[in-house]
Amino acid sequence: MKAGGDSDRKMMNDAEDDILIKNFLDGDAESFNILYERYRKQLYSYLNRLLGGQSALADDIFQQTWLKVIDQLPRYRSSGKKTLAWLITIAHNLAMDHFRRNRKSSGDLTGDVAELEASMVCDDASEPWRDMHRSELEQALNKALDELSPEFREVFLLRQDDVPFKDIAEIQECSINTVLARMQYALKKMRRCLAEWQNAGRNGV
Amino acid sequence: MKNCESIRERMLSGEDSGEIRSHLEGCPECALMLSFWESVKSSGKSSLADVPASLDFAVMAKAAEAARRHRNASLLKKFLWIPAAAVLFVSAGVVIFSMSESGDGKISASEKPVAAAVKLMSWDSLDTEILVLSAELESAGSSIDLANPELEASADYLKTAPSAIIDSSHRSKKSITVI
Repeated sequence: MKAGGDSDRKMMNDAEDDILIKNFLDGDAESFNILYERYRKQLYSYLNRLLGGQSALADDIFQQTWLKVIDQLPRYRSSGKKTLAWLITIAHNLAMDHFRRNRKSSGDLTGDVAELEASMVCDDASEPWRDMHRSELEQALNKALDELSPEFREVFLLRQDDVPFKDIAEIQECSINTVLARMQYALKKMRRCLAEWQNAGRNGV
Repeated sequence: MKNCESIRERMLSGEDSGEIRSHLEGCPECALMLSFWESVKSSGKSSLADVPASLDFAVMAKAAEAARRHRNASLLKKFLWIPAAAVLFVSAGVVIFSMSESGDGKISASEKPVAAAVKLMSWDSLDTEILVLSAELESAGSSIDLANPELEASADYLKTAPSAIIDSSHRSKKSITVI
């Protein structure tokens, strides 16, 4: 269950972020360092998982994101977004630009949307993750994540980071229903991947 | 089930309520989804490497440079009023000076009441001083040592001057108007 303390802490963080940003805009570099320290790991982790282990690309987009943040901070307050959602929106746009340039994602996405409909109908009730060790589960999940298209993978990763569906919808510029459908599809496809992984292991493939 | 969509949104958002629990009892598909989500929610996050130091350094260097720019801009904004106030002060001084120069000793409408009162008071005290001085001269005129030619000339002048000075000061007073 979500504790009320969690949302209080987030609100407090947002208020503190506003003070840090104001101080930075008054010329205090240390305030930016505190803000950076607060979100750097989360953003780095999000990008690495979203980009499926392409660490050089993740590094590049991570740096580009922060450089954009530094440039855009004077206009940040008028955007009205929470700091993490704002950071992720910038990183998301940069990552999607990369996927668009490589064309790979659009093909994947079309396939996923078509598959989405089918997956909603036929679903098996097995629970392969229950028999897996933690490390095996993580390995299988990383493989399953790689098989998702970026938009679907992103919804899953952002929910892992406790980003609300409403904020994900804003980041992906779509409706909450679309985000929710992507999340359900991601979960179903990952479950199927885990089952395949386990069957392959049992059959010694 | 009909309300699966709204229940899923809430359960995948982390909500835990009686309504959700009772739905899950009657809906194995939603129960399976939640069970899987809870198993993988925190998976894969701990094994990630930390941000490389070179990235930290690049970002912080850029931030320090931007902070310097912001500091300079905010200092400029903070102290911009000083030259503006100086210009305003000098302009006001020039205007007041030129107005007082063009007044020919009269108190103009722009002069403040206090200044006008000071002027009137000095005219009145001049009258009194002249009257007292002339009376003293008249009574003590004979005792002045007239051997000194300069004193003799002054005494002669003062014997005739008071009335002329008083008349002149009264004429000036007539021209004083306070608005």
